[in-house]
Amino acid sequence: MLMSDALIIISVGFLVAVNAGVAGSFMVLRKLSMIGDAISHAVLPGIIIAYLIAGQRENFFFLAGAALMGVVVTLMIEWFNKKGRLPTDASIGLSFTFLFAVGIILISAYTDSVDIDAECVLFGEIALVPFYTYTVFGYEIGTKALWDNLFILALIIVFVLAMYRPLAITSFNEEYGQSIGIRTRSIRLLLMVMVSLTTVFAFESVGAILVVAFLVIPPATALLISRRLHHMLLITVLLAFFSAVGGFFLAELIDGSIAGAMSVVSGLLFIGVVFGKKFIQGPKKILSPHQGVLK
Amino acid sequence: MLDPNFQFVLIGIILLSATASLVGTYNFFQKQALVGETIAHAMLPGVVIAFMISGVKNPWVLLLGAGISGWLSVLFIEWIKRETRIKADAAMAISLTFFFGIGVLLMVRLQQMEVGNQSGIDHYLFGKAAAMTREDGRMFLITALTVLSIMLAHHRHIKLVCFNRDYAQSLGVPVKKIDIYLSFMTILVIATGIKAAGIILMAALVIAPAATASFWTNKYGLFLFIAVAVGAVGGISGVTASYFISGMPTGPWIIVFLFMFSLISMLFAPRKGYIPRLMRRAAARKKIRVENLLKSIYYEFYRQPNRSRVLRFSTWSATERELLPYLVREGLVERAGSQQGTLSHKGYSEGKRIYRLHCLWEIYLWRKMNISAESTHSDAEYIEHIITPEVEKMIMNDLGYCERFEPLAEIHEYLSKEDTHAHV
Repeated sequence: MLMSDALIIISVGFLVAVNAGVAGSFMVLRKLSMIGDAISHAVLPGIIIAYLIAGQRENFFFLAGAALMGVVVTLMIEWFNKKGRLPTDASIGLSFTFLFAVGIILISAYTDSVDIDAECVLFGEIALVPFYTYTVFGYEIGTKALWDNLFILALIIVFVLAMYRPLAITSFNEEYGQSIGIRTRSIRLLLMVMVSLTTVFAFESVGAILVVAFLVIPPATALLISRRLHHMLLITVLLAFFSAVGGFFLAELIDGSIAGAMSVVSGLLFIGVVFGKKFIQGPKKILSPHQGVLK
Repeated sequence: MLDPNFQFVLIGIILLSATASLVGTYNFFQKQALVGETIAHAMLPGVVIAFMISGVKNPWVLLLGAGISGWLSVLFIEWIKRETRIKADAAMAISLTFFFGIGVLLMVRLQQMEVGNQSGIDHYLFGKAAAMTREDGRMFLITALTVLSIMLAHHRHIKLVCFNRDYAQSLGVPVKKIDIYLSFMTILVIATGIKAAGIILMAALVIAPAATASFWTNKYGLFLFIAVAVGAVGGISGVTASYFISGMPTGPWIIVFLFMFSLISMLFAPRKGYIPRLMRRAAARKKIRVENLLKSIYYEFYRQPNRSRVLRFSTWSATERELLPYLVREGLVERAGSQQGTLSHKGYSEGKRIYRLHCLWEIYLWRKMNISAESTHSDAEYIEHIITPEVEKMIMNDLGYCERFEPLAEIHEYLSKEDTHAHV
């Protein structure tokens, strides 16, 4: 074994948090945080179907296909919202609860052929991650989760770098983006694909729900203390690192779930930043140079 | 017959889903449908901690734990919104995941501790309706009665707050107090139901029945009634389905049924449904096309001197010819042979009516609004299809014409010559 188990667990947690944090930054800026939550629930049936098709052994490509559920739920929400004229929040709630329910029903219907239990999908078991490795031509090449998430990271980096400007513009002001000829809808859907890819490959380590913590909390924390997008992304990565390391040791300390502890630490970091910022800046000023009403 | 446990579960679930649907309507009106989802997840740590402290599976202790942590999550959301620039949706997601994270952290800890029988806890995630006890049933009943009495006591205020917060405030309604009542009811119903129904079902129960009702009515009372009925029927269907298909969980089936009700309503509800709306739009488009055609026939053939009044269909454009079967069916055009026809009396008066309204509006804009005669035409093209007899009468009065004397066409033609634009 190349790395110790603790290091592997921390690195996987860090990778998941970075993937989710970078994709999530754009979700938070677009005020789509709850859609991130919806996607994380909605990928469940996709994952189950991927397992059913691929059989006992999970297959990278089928799992990647499960990420399409992110697009499906996004389109469903859009459809209810636009064609059904339902408020956005109700559209979100309606769509993802249904897809999640379908996932649970599929699990119950195929308990014999799917070696997967719903709790595992929801919480993951990051402590078991080091036991699953990829083997190429008889050689063990390292932890599976590590490779999978590294691959997703590469995809996200390519996506963000290739589309940095349109992504940034549409995240802050979609109408403006549209008016200068950016294909906003395609970009939004691509972003959803990234989010659901992250979720799908995070589910075995941190679980489908807690990945939402990484999608929202570090970016929201970073948003509080940055004024430029690239600063926000860098701070998000930093926060992801602290959450992963801190979470691991917190879980060791009280003998609890590692993934749970990682999200708790990121939440504590958020609370700390809110208080710290208040302490440094003092009470809210209407005339503050950057965030005041008057500039 | 059905076994008594099935009946018991059925009644319990009906009670629960009806109550949750009722509370959900308020969250729907306030555009806070997802608060239910947040609260439901955020109850996990409360349940786990209550279980750790008491060590027993007393439903009342667990209810208290769930309630407290649900309440804290709501306060946390408010705190984030107050202290930072973070928007409501992100605040909800942060609160949800933070509390849920604590819950998961402690839950695993609880499993390590092996305090007696831990299996009760995971029911809180997916729900287990079949494991409902007498105590749970009593709890559902108490919750339903509490919610009902709060609602009846504050019925008027709640209605006002749902309708328009600012307006309610200006009338002196204690909006903050009503908000607290609504949060309390949401938390109470979710905390009660979460063990039997599970987190996600509770989230769905708060949303789907209200969403379904919104497609059927705009009336407040009826809205509540439909939502409650939909919730109850969804509950019955789900319980029945999971009873007859072995090994199936109840909650997900209820969600599937509730979703189907919403989907069907969204598609087919007569007034607000998608398909009826599309059909109405198509009908309106066709009406406009027919009216335009009749108007131009009237203008070309009846207002010009010395024109033959025989219509030759071969000179019509393809889109005009498409309308021909409809015109004949409705008795607007009388056919004489395959390529010729004339306007029927009905068609003539219809064309005349549209033309008249067109003239009327142009003159009205020109006279009363001081809009140059040139630019009145395009506006009249739209409005001529919309003016009702009542509006027509009002405009006539405004212009000072009585019904017998209406020199509209003459004035209109004068107008046209004046601005040298000779079209309708």
